[in-house]
Amino acid sequence: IFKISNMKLILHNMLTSAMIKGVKKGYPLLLRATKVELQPVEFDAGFVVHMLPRLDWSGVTAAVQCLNQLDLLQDPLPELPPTVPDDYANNEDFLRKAHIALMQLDVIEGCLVCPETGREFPIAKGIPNMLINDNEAA
Amino acid sequence: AAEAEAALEERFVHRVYSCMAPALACADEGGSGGCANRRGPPACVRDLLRDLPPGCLLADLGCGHSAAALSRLAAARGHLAVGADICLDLLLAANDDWHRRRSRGRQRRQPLLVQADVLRCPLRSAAFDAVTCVSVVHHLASRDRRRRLLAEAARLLRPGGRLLVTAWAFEQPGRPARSFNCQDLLVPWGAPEPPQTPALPPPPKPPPRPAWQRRLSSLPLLAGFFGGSRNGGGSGDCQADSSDCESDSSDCEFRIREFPASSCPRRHTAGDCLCDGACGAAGAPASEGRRLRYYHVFRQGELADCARGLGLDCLREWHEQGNWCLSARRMPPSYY
Repeated sequence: IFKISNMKLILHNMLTSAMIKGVKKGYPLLLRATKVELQPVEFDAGFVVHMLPRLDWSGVTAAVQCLNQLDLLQDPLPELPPTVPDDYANNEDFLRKAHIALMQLDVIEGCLVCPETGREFPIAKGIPNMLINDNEAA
Repeated sequence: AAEAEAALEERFVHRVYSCMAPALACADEGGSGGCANRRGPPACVRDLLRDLPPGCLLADLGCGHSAAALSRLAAARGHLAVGADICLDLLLAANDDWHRRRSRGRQRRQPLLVQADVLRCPLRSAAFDAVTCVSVVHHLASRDRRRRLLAEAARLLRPGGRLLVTAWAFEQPGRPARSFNCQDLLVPWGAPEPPQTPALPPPPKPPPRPAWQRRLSSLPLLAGFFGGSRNGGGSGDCQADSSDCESDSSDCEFRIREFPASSCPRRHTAGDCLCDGACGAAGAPASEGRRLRYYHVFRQGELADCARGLGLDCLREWHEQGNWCLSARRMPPSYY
């Protein structure tokens, strides 16, 4: 039985490769996905409203653009505005689009890539492997 | 020395948990998981989740297989938890746990998991409202590494963010108060011994062990833990309130922190050698079937001492079910 993965864009937003020697920012990681799926996840407006200020929105839009370019889904992910609208707390249309991108999109197969060194982090069974070797560590 | 520390952790922490991951996943069913799992996350974690305003981001360093339980509790309070652990087997067990319970009709936000070394944490700085680190720091083999873990936790926190760290205590509850006879221990996990058959050929002579391993085998095994009556240990500096421990101990019995409970169900009386004599002399390596885990048990005040100078304001240290818990707050950068 295939288990649903957990590599969601909201997780991607938290990840960095800055533990690698010489990396200045390490964020956002490039999404080299080879297989993605949209999972049914219940929309919770209050949750999205709380999370939005805690995210790096430019990382979210970059990830969505990256995935849409890869063209792995039947329908592309809804386009997101470059900045979070001022009325986001009451803007259900926007919140629903953000929810789809952040919570429903699962990267099943592929890897995350350090934007500065090109170092790949594989995603296996939905779990990204961010372990590095001793000689790579800062 | 750094290599020896990492090697010790690899052999006596990571490899052990990897092997036991499937057993942990099953043991969780009856609510009899390890201390962090019995009926879900421990009280201190529940309290933290309740204290936080709704909708917080939490990082759980060394989440292990209980990531699903934490994420369920976090979701119930509107928070989102990200779990990081070095052991893929434990993360997969957490995923399995979530799926098992989800199929029973309980809709909960899925745990977000990442396989990572918590000393080289791939999470963004100052992004989290809270960091939990439950029963992890005591598995690190040097003070330097333990401080590095706390430094990583501090790095992840936004100014004002809350840190909760717990570690096994040197001072153990009970009347009279007991303590371990040493702070660095190899603790046997009650894995069943493989059956001995008389037809087994004598084991081959082992190759000479490297220096760090020879040093290691002089670490006391848990035999002799009950120093309370014999050595007159337990100097009475254990500040534990006995009401904290009522559920775990009675006058003359002490239940070892089981991990998981199902593999070590026996109650031990003071003076018992937990190895049932199988440990042999204190220099002999334990038999293969008995998995040893490395622990550095913390004295009162040691967690706060470890966190000194890392931009953390230590709020409170307390004893809970045989563990020291430390609650701290991340200070804004201008403070140091």
